[in-house]
Amino acid sequence: MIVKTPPMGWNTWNTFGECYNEEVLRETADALADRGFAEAGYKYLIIDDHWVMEHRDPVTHRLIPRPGKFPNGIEPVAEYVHGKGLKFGVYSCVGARTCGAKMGSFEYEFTDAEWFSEIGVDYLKHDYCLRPEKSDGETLYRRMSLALRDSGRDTVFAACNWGCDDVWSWIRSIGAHTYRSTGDICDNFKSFTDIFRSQVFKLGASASGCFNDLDMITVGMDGEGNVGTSELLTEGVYRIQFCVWCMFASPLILGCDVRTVKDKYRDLLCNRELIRINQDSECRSPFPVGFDDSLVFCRLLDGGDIAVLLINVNDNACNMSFLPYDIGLTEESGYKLSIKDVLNGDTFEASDIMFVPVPPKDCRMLRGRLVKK
Amino acid sequence: MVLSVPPLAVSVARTFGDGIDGDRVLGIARAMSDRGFVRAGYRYLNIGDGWAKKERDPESGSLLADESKLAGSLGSLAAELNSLGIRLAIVTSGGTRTPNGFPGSFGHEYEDASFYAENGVSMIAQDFSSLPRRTDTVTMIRRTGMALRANGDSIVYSVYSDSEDLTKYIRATGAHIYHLRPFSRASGVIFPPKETHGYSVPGSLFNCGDIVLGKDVDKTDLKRSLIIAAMASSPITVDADITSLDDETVSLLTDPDLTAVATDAECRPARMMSPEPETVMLKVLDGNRYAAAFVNDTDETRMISFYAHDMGLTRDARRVVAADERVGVCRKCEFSDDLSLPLEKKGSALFYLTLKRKDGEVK
Repeated sequence: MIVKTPPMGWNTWNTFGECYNEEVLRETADALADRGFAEAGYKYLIIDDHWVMEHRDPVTHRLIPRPGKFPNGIEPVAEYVHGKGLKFGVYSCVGARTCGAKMGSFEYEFTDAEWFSEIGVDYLKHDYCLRPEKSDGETLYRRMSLALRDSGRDTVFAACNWGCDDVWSWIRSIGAHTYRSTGDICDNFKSFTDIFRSQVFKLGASASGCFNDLDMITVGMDGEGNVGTSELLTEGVYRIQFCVWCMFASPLILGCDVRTVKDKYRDLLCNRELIRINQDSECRSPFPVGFDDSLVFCRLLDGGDIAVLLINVNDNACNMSFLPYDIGLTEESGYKLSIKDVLNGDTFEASDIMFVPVPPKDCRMLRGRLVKK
Repeated sequence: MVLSVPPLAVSVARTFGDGIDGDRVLGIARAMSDRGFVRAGYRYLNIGDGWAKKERDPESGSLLADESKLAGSLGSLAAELNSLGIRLAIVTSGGTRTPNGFPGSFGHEYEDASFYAENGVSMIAQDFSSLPRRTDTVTMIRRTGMALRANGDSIVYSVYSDSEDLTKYIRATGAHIYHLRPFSRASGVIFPPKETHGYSVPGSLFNCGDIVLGKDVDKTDLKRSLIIAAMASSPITVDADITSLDDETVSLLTDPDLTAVATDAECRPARMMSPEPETVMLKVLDGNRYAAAFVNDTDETRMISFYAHDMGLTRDARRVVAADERVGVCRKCEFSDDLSLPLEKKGSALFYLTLKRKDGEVK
């Protein structure tokens, strides 16, 4: 299976941690379908840790869904999700136990992959906890990849080793479709800015087939939930987060409670122009332009367009500069940029240096096209 | 434009140098068609840099094709190639001069990109060895990348440069293919350097090097080079007068399994499962298949082993690995522990691997 553009979906972890059940998942599936998320591209509903027991079935050796959460088993949930036109994802771990000390897949990879296939799993997040100390992480991920492919069902394999072991250098070769590149995100400014700043120079390895995953998005959590830190983020800060995830071609896996998230954040997360940049068919990596402290990124898009993201992380408004020379446009080229602000629709043209006003702790996302002068 | 799988190309850039002419080029093109190259997936013919005049048009600054050499315009040559199912590729320079001293694109990137588009060029192989020293190579590549996009975004952009920054940034420049040596030193296939491995991805592929063949071809050497390139998901460029190659060489170059592994739709890089110089490379293929390449890069026969464990097979799998050797060989076997085989010096072997349930077990 070839995953051509970054997968989009929703995951239980950010909001619910281990506190979810069949009813929550059904309501979430309803919200994804009814509130416009699915139509915008968010198709995967993914159950994270804590969905299985601490032991296996003694006869079949299969994982056992927690009866307290899933009194009717996991199959009805998968059927309900599929019935909504969505795809169904679950979680496991390369180790003997998951990060939450539930059963992991170590040395049962084929047993688990076969069962996942039978119940209709379309996406597997595979964590990195509680593996044997001397085991080789690459081999453990290779095992589950082999097992999933052998199961005969198209399943997105989302490796989650938190960026350890130079994961970018081998993860594509083992057959994974996405790879987490950092530790877990929290719903605060430092957490997500640390994450994306750490990946700026590692994005060259992310492309069609296997994407660098910056972790689940916290936009709209408003400081609550499992990864909430009581820090109430502004709309501008959430805008930065979502624009970066789009610009960096990261998988877009939502973590807010989509049943109740405010309409303004729903609208941001479903912004078609931002998602269009994230899903651009060339999947090229962005590159920083300007000097060290400047957070200006450019990205080449299919059909000759370019995206420019200007991020102001300061507490004061500022004019951020962008020099078309840095993307290869010269004065004698005979071309200028026709630019549209993706978020507010403003249009303007530029062939020389641009000074773009950016509000404090906010960003501007521009989409440019080369036109003859 | 998305270059999702590596292109296969025939080149005469080094074989003919600047001594090309229209008849020779069309002779090669007909041979590509008649000898099975086109059918095997070779869709580009690189005619080198000898198509141009030594100087630009003094008034417009435009490149000029040497129409007396080509017996017509560059565009008409491209059209003739297209009629045979072949696309025109040329050698250019991002610096001031091409390898054979023809005008480079430095400072002329946009007008040259327009010239290529107007004349039916489908791929440029651009050398950066004559770039002024006080310029930034990545910015210059970005400039040509942008110029090509401004002119229709339909030309494959292949870069040859030893710039240290190339690996990490090439993907952001608009280039589709990159090689870490200048064009003049890009003959001979190399293993992808470890630090490059993760950066060779669909859309911007690492080129392991061009395969330059004379009249006497060492088949062992050629097979090894082709297997390494195919496993690495590298573009394959064969620089030779293919009209004079012997049938056995042509048969290797057009081997359907080699080209299938090279252009596999998943376009994943192979992983070295043991260190060089005697190694096994493993590549995940589309459709639940795998390719394993055994390569002996030493000067003596060596026993090389590949372990099912390293591929990911576990005790709960209840599977064996079915191995099917290809490329001039037809040998099948099954293993659940290891596959070991002696390989002659500089030898190589390519296997398809699939998982198979152990006898008697029913799903």
